[in-house]
Amino acid sequence: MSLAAIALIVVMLVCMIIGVPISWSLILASGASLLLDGSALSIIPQRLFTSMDAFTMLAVPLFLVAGDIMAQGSISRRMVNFADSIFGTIRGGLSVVLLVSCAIFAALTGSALATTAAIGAIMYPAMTERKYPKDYTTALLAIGGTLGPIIPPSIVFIFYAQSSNLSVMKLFMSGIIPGILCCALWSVYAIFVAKKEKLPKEGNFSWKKVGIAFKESFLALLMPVIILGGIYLGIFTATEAAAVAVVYGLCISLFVYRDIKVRDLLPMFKNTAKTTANLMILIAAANVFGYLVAYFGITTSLTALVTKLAPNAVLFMVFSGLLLILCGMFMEATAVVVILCPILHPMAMSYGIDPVMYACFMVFLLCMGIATPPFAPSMFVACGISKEPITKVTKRILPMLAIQLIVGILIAVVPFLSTFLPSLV
Amino acid sequence: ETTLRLGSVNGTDSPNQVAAEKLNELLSEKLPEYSIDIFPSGQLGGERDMIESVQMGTLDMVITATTPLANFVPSLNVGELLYLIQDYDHADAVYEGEIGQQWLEDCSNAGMKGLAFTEVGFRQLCYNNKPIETLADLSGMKLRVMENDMHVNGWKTLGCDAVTMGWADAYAGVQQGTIDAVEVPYSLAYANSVYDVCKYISETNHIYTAQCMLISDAAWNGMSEEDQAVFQECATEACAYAKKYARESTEDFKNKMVEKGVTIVEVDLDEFREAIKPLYDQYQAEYGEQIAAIQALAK
Amino acid sequence: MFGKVLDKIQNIINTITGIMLFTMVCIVFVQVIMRYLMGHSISWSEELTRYMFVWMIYAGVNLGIKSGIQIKIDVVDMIFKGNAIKTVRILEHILTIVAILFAAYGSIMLIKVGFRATSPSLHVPMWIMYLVFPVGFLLDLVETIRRIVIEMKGDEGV
Ligand code: NA
Ligand code: NA
Repeated sequence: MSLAAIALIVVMLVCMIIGVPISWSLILASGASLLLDGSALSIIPQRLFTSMDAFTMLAVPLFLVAGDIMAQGSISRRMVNFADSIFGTIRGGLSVVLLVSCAIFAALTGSALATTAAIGAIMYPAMTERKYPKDYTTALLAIGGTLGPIIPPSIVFIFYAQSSNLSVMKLFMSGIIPGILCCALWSVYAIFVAKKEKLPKEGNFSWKKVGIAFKESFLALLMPVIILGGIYLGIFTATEAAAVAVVYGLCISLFVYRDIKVRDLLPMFKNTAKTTANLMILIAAANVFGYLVAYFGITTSLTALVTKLAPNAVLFMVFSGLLLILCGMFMEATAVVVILCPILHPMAMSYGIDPVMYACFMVFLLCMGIATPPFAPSMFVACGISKEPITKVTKRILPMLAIQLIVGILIAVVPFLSTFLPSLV
Repeated sequence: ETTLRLGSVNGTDSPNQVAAEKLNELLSEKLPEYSIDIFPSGQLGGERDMIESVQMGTLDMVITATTPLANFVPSLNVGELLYLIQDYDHADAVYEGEIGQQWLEDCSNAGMKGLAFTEVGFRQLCYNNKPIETLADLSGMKLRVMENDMHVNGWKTLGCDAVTMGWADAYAGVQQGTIDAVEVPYSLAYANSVYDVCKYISETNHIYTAQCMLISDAAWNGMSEEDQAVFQECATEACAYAKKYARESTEDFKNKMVEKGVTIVEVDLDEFREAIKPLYDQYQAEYGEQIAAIQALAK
Repeated sequence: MFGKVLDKIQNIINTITGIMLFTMVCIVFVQVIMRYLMGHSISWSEELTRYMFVWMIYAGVNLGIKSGIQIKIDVVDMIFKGNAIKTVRILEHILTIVAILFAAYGSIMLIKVGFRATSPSLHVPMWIMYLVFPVGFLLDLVETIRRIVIEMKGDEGV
């Protein structure tokens, strides 16, 4: 590894630990390594620009605005009231609602950030109102978002298919069972946490309460129906759905419920613009960093190490798994897939490992990285909503990451989980 | 001993990869002090940003479609007109003749050295609903096109609703029905598993997508004149080799897609060529001379 | 005095970015309506929203520096107390300034190549788009320097 490559990693870690904002840590490390390499610093603003010059990214601020409108008015309160009237009678029921909502939303969009932004904006205010711990709710949102690219459709699987010539449809199918399994195990864990920490519970179940809540929330409940139905029927894309959600939310909050006034709008949009800028420069700075990791050939030299260490299929799974977790901690999932898939996929084949299973294994571990600090985009989005500090949320998310890791190992040990559904298409 | 970083957005079995590998092989024989480090599959970014990186000298070489390159080298735009390039012979007469040479020289106005052209082939229409054989079948269809005026206006002239969106959105979109069709050459259709989301491919052959191999001024000017001559020779040979591969593999990719269950539909090309004429009138003022020069090379 | 002028500029920028966000919502919504109901798409709208998005981000970063909502790892806060933490904070700000200077310096070269390209749909020269970087980074720089001054004065209330 070159001096520049080492500087890239070391400077980044040192700055982050000192407490320099993550975005500037990444940019400083990138700049230092570029200077050492004798390359032009223009790579930094160029990557900052191109990584955000993407229509799919727009889904994040649009869902944040939609969420703001729902929270400032009464839409999200009404929606959650309805969910609460059914599931609130179970201790921790709303946390399960949150996770399941993430899985449902994940089935419609390929993006982790859109998932966290959409569900977080709706559920977070109402859950903290019901005394769910803020750091815990933030962690749930961050981990739930990782389902976005695990459950199809998935941007990460599309990139994997491109780099490996496997069928996208088969890869999509491979993510379904692991995704649902993960969501189920987290739900069990969430109920366990609720019992242990005595999270609130809403009286006893009654049809009358459900009926009242349904009547009060009917128009609000149409919102997810419109979003999900619109994407499902192919009327609009996930990003466009966010804009439709904003317009629909504004219409019923301004004219039907009348709990938002026109003069509230500017402060709301100003605030979301500010939050978005801070969130997005972080994601963009990570793109600069990830680009340089490829540029300096760091991933390829790590992969060479894995090859050297792995004499058989089992050790190959272990070492490549560790490599993927490490890469996922620092880089964006699609970037890692583009670099590592062309190397690891043929190696897996040569060891006689089922290619679809390996694809699922790789994508799953990388998606876990979306919520694994230091670079944890879905956690950043969740923290952007809740304003909770990273370290507190990290402590809360560790058990959930452990569960995800166990599912990751299960994918490798029980190939059936990832290969059964693809074998049907 | 110099290693040049070369980027491409296409995958490892694309003509671009073949060109890059061939170039590396030729250099090792003829100019061993140079070697190529290949970054396929967009590892170093999209085509637009890679071209920009070559301008800045932060990337040494790129092989890119001429479509995004036309934003930097405006004269290239004319090649993006639908049905201007008739067939392979015509494409060779244009891109390997004087016009092509002029385009390569025009690249230096944008601060890059254009080396040679290769190709990914003619673009085809991929969709789901019912077979498209005539112009009438096309009417009102929502089609994802690349971000380029010629492409957008061309399809509008043919009666389609041309939508510009990113590839990932388009892929999901054609499956969910947000859009009706995408258009790509056979090799890219196969590499991107278009067969998973599209039942039909109409052989519209509407645009010839050339690829251009470029090197940064910094890297180029760092070579002695003799080395430049040898390097140019290697690049030309590598691109010609890749073009041959592109043409041979197109049949291959087409057959593989038929095996995957895609139905190939023949269309009445004369009807399409007739219907596209108003597009040429639209660009007459700006590109009239070039259009005439290119048309004159058709047999 | 200088602080008040800066506040005013920042408020204007925040208002502009807020309006940009609202405009983006409208454009995307209209795009859906046009495609679905009119069967006719606007080909430049996607590019316009993307570029507005980029401007909204990089013009708005300084607002986050100001309100202290930048995401960072806060291990130091648990280890150090009192004066030590003040020193660390100032070090953080100085490192941030170095990072800003790296990025700002790089953007000059980017603008230079931006003179040789236009955007694919709107045909706007790219250097106009890239202009957001020097503008944004300058604001980030000034705001970070203000953070250092405040840290030294020990005045948390500004
Ligand atoms: Na998904
Ligand atoms: Na991570």
